[in-house]
Amino acid sequence: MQLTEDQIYALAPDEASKKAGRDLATPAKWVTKGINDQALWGECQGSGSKPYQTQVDLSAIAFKCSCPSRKFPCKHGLGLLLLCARQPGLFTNANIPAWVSDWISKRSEKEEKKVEKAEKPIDEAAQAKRQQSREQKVSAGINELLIWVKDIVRNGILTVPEKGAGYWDNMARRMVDAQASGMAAMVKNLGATNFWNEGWQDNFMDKLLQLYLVAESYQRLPGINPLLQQDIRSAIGFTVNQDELRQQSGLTDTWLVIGKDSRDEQQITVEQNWLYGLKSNQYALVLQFIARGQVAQLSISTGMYLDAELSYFPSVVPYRAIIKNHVAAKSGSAHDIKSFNGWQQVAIQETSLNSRLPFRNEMPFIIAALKPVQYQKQWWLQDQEGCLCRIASDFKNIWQLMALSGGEPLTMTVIGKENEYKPLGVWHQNNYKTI
Amino acid sequence: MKAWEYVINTAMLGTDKPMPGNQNLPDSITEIAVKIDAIDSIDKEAKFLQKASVIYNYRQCGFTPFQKQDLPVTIASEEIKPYCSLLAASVLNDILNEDNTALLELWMSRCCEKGQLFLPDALPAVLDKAEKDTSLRSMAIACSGNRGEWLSKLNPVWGYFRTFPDEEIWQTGKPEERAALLKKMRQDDPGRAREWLQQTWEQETAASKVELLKTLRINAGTGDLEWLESLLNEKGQKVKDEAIALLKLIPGSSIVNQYEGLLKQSVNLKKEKALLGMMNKVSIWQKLPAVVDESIFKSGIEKLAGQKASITDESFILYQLIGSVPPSFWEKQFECTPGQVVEYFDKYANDKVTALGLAVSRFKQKEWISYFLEQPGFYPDFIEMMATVEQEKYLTRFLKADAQNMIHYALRLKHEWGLDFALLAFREMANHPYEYNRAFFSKHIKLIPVSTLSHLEKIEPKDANLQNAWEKGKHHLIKLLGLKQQTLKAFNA
Repeated sequence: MQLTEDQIYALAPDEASKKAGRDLATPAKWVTKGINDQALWGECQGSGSKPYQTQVDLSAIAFKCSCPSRKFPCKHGLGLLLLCARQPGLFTNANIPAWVSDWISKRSEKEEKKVEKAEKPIDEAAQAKRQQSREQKVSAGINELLIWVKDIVRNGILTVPEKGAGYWDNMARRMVDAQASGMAAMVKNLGATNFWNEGWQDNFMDKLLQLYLVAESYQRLPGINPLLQQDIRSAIGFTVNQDELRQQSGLTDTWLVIGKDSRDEQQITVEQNWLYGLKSNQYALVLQFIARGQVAQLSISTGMYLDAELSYFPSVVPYRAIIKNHVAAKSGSAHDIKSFNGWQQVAIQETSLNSRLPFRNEMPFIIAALKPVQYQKQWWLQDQEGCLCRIASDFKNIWQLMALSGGEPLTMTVIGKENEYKPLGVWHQNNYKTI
Repeated sequence: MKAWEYVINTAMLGTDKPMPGNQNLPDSITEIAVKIDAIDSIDKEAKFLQKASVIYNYRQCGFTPFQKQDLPVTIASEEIKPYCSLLAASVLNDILNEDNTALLELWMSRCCEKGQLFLPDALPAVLDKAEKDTSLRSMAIACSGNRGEWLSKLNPVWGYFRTFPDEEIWQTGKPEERAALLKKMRQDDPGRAREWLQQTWEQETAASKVELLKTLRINAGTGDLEWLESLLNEKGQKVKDEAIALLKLIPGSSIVNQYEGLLKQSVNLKKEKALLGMMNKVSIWQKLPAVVDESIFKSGIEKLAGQKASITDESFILYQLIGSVPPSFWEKQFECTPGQVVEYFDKYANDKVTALGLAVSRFKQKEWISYFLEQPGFYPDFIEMMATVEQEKYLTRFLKADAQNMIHYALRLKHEWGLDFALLAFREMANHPYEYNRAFFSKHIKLIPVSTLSHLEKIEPKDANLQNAWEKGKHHLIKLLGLKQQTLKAFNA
């Protein structure tokens, strides 16, 4: 599979790796190099006497290198991919060396073993006991949380900006103790409202009401439809067994990675990958949690096409998913996309989603013929009907978007809610580009 | 949306305060609100939160995009020039990531030469660079095409795309813009530049008079004489000083004439018969007249050599005077050729040879340079007046003895160094790796030829302790040369 330079850079763990990888993307650095359908490999002369053996599994984009770097992928892997993207002619379709073929075959064996791995017998009674105990803790925590929320609205939110960090942290900690990590995150997010912003009250109340909806709904779980129950439990912080999820049949499609974002949360990198299924016209969010020093299981970057089977987490609005298996696919074109035709259609879709799940998060949409315009000193995205939605104020690359647009409408991927969205990527000259 | 205002207003004050009724809510909400209010088992906070949650979802579900048809929208014109190749675009990306202005300048100059444009993706980054570095602007404008021009109209920061007529800049521009314009005009049409300055002279402040007058140093000539002479009556001392400095650059000016008059009386070639008339004895007679017009000391000639000086005050005054008259003066004074003038000074007034050399630089008399090339003294200003081939030869002659200075002057060259000179310079640089470091190579990569790449590995410092520091700089240089090579290759393909 041929990755573009942007896609390769998107795989880098940090800026330093990008820079170092770029420096290694010159033929002089590589003693040997080769490629076949399965793998790309090369030997890079480092500071040691023996060159580093670098290899990339092209079918599922995985890396291995004999260098001592703890970064993943290392600069050698990135450099090799970049060199191949820039000067593919340098890579001969040579005989695969033993050190590459061994690794590739081990990878396939591992995959098979994973499938065959027998499950340990589960002590169901103990599990049920643990579950019951947790639910009791959560209920107690939720009760306290509701009292806290009522206190806020009783006293009025006018004085909320004066509250110190401890006010929010204490309740977040209480939620952690109650084993309701999702609620803890929501409380922290509530405290993180930018009280300096004009109109902070809207943003604050949105978050407070979402929190209230989840907490209140949890107290009424039995009467709610099972899928919505799962949404509520997920929002509270109950996890779904991913092994069980893998057992279920998923949605097989050619998926385009429409966006990627990473953020650090307490020593863990949370990677969000947004995917779009070309045939199913479905969107998906694949999360990856990478502890420091650990290797990410999934190496995908924006603009990549994957032939993959995805299993969605149970939800009234199936969105979060896991990738059961994937191989890189050939690039598609903008014609394969069934995009929304304007903001009216997005509004109808939003209504449908909100009516099913009122406390849902932002979701991506691919919308045809949007053009960035300036109105009242703000940037907006205008559709063919003249409808406008605001571009989020934290969107930094407005000039890049403008440069690609040239004033002409573009098919664009955006993420957001109601009337504020952030562009993720555009189709420019039939290529998908991240912004 | 009124229903949401109800939520915000109630939340702001708190539910302890009297809450507004349901009458202002939409009908579909009122129905639910009434049902919530009718529940006796829950407190007023819960009632508010439940109603607010309903309104929150009502708002979310009822979102309608704002419509505005008549927004003025412009579209970038279609490009006439072709875009650069993907390879060139990828090199540009690397150069932008490396944050190297010299390489960016090289890339854009090649792009301009080929009549191509960079891809729209790179527009914001390149335009931002050109905003900070004015030397990149003209090339950035040329390589960004119609889309760049269109984009610049939307972002005031990139307003440099808008060019104003020279007259407008001269009348209303910032001081530095006016000075830059005058400099440009002095290169192409010195007389016109002077006329423009004369026209606005009376309106200029003393400070701007000095700054603008300085631009007349470019191509200062006899055409400027009359006006500059008249400036000697200016009130401002700084203006007067600048006018004197300019007049001292122009042969035929009253000051230069005055110096020549004094030298005519003070320095003469004496040819006498010696050894019973069998041989000619030649000498240079140097003696100031008993009374020297005091005004020459007001024009910048120093009277005293200083207490620690090894020469007399008289010799010092003559040294300054020789350096302030055109060398061609001596052709008439000694009645001989330029070569003979230099030879006579070398033999009979050796301490004044450098003054003669300085005069060659001051009056830009290129034809005299060749007579000084074998002289032990180094004249930095000669380099600018030499042919490209000669420049490096001249610098190489002094490189061993004074490497750091010669490299300093080599950095002023307008062309890329030749391979031989570059390698000689590298051998010297290797011994001073803290001075010739990464920042140095980043700044001057344009001068360093790509052909040095294959030789760089062999260049080592004499002192092994400097090896590590030099290696760091060298590897950076190799990386930059790689980018330079890729740039040249991308546009030659």
